Amino acid sequence: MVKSVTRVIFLFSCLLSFFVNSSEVSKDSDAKVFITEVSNIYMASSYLIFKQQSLINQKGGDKSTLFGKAFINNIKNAYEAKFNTKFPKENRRLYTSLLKAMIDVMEDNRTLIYDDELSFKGLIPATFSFQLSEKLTQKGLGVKIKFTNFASSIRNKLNLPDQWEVAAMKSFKQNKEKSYFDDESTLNNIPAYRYFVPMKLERFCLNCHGTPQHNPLNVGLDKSQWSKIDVTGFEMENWELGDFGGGLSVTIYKKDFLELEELCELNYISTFACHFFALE
Amino acid sequence: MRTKLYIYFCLSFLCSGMIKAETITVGVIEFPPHVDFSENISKSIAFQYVDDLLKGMYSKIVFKTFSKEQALIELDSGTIDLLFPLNVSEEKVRHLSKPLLYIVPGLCFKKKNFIPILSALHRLKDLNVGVSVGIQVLPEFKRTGANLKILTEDDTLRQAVELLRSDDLDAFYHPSPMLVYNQDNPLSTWIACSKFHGYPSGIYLAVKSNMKDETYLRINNAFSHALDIKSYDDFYLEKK
Repeated sequence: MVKSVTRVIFLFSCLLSFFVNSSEVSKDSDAKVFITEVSNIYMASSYLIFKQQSLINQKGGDKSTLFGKAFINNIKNAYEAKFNTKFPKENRRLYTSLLKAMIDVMEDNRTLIYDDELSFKGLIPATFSFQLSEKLTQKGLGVKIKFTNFASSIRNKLNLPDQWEVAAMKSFKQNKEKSYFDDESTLNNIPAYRYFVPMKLERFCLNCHGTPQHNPLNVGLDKSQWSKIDVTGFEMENWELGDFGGGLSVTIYKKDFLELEELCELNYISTFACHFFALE
Repeated sequence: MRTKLYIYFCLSFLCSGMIKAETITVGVIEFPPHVDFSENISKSIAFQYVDDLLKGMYSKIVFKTFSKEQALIELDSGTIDLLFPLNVSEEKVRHLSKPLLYIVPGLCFKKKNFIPILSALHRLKDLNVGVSVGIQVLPEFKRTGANLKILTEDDTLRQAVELLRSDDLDAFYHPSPMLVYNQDNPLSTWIACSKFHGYPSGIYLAVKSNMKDETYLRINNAFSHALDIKSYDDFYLEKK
């Protein structure tokens, strides 16, 4: 009798352990899908900001597509064109928050974008990324997005890599992997999901990071007059198409990921708030 | 949307027993474009947000407008219970735990001399930059080698603008340059500002130093809850 009870308890423990572990694995793989999609959405928005440089910097004209829902629709189109897949369904609070943060960033720049006396506004993928990450932090979403590179190649010291990012970049240089997800990492000693995707220099990156012949400021000038300083005020790096250009580092604190995802399911008042205010 | 927000605040505070038959006195200082004294204050967006929050908690709310200096005296003496919007990095006062909004410091230039990306710190070397007396400047900016000219007149913004106009300054430092460079401000016709991204400061609701802990907690919890429901940024965007 005692043996039977012991067997039942043992069996039950095994089953419980299996389900608990499955649940953990499921959360981690869910986080991987999510963080990859956040990274892709960000890259699509960054690509769009570059593609819209003429519109951003032009005098006058209709710039309404840079704001609100029209801007988000353009990001969705850019995403689908770049990754050849449907834009993720916006049924997660974090996606909605990310897209809203992008709208907020563009809104913060409205005066700048409509300033006809400035020929270069400085709203480029790097500054957009910085403002977006700042906005996400302010919203307390626990998501951090940054462009980073080795210290010797960085322009803004606020983007200097931490140890995890340095290790990821070294690994990419050696193994030529496409991306790296880590579900056992930390940021500021807080458990976090981290994702790094290396970026090879695309044609549009060369305007600032390439050689003087790529510098739009040199168009029409004699070679002897070419400037090594790009439109943002930094010296060009002389990188070439396909070179390693650092990468995109995305971090989501585990606590925030789980809390935000469960917010609408667990708390009746918040459910009301989620759907009544945030998602309407 | 404002009605919805108010109804929701009321519902949630009623449920949690937060509404009290009490009066609260709130000091308001000018902080354009969020609080603009040039128009009826009830049209200012930050005012509406705080008003909606407190309506759900107090039976009577008295708002009083002040200059910043006077408001700090009133807060210190306890004649007002709350004061907003306030940059607490400049003033050491008791405040709620979460900021209403964030500001990012920056530089304002004549448009023809505009520097759009301030992380290119080397471009700031040797520039003559006006800084209002008492303003704490970012250490990174101090290290650029810019010549800092301390502005000491009563209205330092007016002084900075005049010196910029006469080319005695190349730029002036502002803790929240978007207060100068926004479509509603006539200065934006010839001044443009850029920001030191990555160095935000919170703008808070300050409370009187002798506020009872119980009252503080009640307001602080309600405010945090309100921000969770709808951040001030989102509220501002909708009203704008």
